[in-house]
Amino acid sequence: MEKAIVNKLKKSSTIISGPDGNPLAVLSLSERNRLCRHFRLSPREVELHSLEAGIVPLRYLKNIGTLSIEGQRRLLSSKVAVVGLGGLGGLLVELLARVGVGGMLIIDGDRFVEDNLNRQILLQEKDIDLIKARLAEKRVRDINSAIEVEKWEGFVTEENAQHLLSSVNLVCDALDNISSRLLLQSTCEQLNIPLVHGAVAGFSGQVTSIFPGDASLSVIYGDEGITIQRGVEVQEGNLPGTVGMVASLQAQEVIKILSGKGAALRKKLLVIDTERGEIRHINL
Amino acid sequence: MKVMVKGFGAVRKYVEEKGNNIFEVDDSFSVRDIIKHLKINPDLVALVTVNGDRVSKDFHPRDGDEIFLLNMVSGG
Repeated sequence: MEKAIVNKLKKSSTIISGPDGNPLAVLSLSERNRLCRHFRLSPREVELHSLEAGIVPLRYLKNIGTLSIEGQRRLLSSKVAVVGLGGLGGLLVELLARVGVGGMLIIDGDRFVEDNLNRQILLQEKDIDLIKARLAEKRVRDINSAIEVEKWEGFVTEENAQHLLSSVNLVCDALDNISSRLLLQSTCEQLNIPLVHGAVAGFSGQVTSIFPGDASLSVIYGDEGITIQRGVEVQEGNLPGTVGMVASLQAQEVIKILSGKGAALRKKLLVIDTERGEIRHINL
Repeated sequence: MKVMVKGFGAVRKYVEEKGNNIFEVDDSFSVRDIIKHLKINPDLVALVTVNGDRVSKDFHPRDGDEIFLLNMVSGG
């Protein structure tokens, strides 16, 4: 079976000039779909076989120069949870689907409301009142049919967190309150998986990657005697550019951690203030 | 002592509305005292660095130190 797939993949591929100028075999979407039907495999399975055989699904061609075929294979075989599908989570879902993170668990118990329109990329006027997780799931499927997406139309709680997140390799914190963020941190700690944190308010935002043992959110927010649930976003609101910037930086963290490329922002908080164009690292 | 205070994000305006960012404060003041002195809600300040090193709000800065106050953000 394995050999038959590889042979068929080779016959179905086209040779082009790759990012380094050398010949590169690529597989088009239509050929991929044909192979899915032929071998009764899922799109993700065919794409994984393809990458393992050194054949790049054409949709990922522009990733390969940076991520390599092996990095792309790692992304496609990973599963990420995006917790919170508002400003940050909506764009994260979009970016991770496009880059080819093969498994996604998307979580939010809310419906869209009108004041989400300024920054939440999943939302159009006609979709006010719709359930966020359903719209996000549809968006992922529309962008990349290879992604195996599951949704949870509810919130992460102390009761369900471990069970809910037990199947993922990494969690994205796209939440909007401090206690839920700390719950994600303790759950990821117990599950021994990394957590990519992002938060925004007005013109400013922050990003960091938290590995088991780091407890960086406890440094940022304090984990004892918390008197507040939210930050200055209560007064400042959230601008779309800030949200897009921080979600994009979170996506880059996910890509680096999963593909093994670059250096994650571990024990470093990247803080950005676009009102003055300032960027800093704070060691955590 | 004189310290330089830099507010980041939404905290900046609370510092800058005082006119400049150099402040003469009592030698015994901790960072927490300085935040209070500047009438900044301490809940709005997440992290503090002094001369680039992260410190607790109970840290006692010295004359000439640069104090950086990061705003508390948690929006998504």
